[in-house]
Amino acid sequence: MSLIARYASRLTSINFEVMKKAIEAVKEELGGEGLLSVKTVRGYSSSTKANLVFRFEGMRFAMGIRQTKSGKVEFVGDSWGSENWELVQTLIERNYTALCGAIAMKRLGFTAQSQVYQDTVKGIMVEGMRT
Amino acid sequence: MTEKIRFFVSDSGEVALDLSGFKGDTCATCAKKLNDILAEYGVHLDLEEMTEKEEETEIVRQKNVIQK
Repeated sequence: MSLIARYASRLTSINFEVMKKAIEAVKEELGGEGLLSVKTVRGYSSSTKANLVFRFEGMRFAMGIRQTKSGKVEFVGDSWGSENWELVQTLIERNYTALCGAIAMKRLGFTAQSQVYQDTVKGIMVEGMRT
Repeated sequence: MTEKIRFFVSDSGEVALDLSGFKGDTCATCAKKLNDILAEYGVHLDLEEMTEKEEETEIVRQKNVIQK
């Protein structure tokens, strides 16, 4: 069945400029169009508004990120025909969190650099140093 | 002495934070400041201090609060 669905996020009150960078980083990893200029997520039979809309390789329909007035963040879209719907949300949240970690370190006077880990535990390591 | 922070975000969403090279209470203070800045960006961590100490090194780990 094809429909527009909402997927809860553990993030709240996000910074959209940082989120755009997180989405662009996913584009480098998965390929595809990345951020789109539209603010509407279209599904097979319906559509909905979102703050940021994007599509990567393997996705039939674009996905969106929407933030409510209370700061709740949710991913919206029609996952029908997409191979990597859940992966996309996971990677965006991971990249956003890592970027925020790097920003926080820099604000505290650390030099920060990040590296993707694809070992037993997969993720992103951000390392900061301050003398 | 060089102060170091290692901030690891796993694909499953868990965050691990290691701080080393800090003296005294500066480790906990730095972790708190980092946590406060992350909160400004909507990243919420549940700070759980571990009591491990190796001379001048403290390790603090944080785990994500999954908000669903």
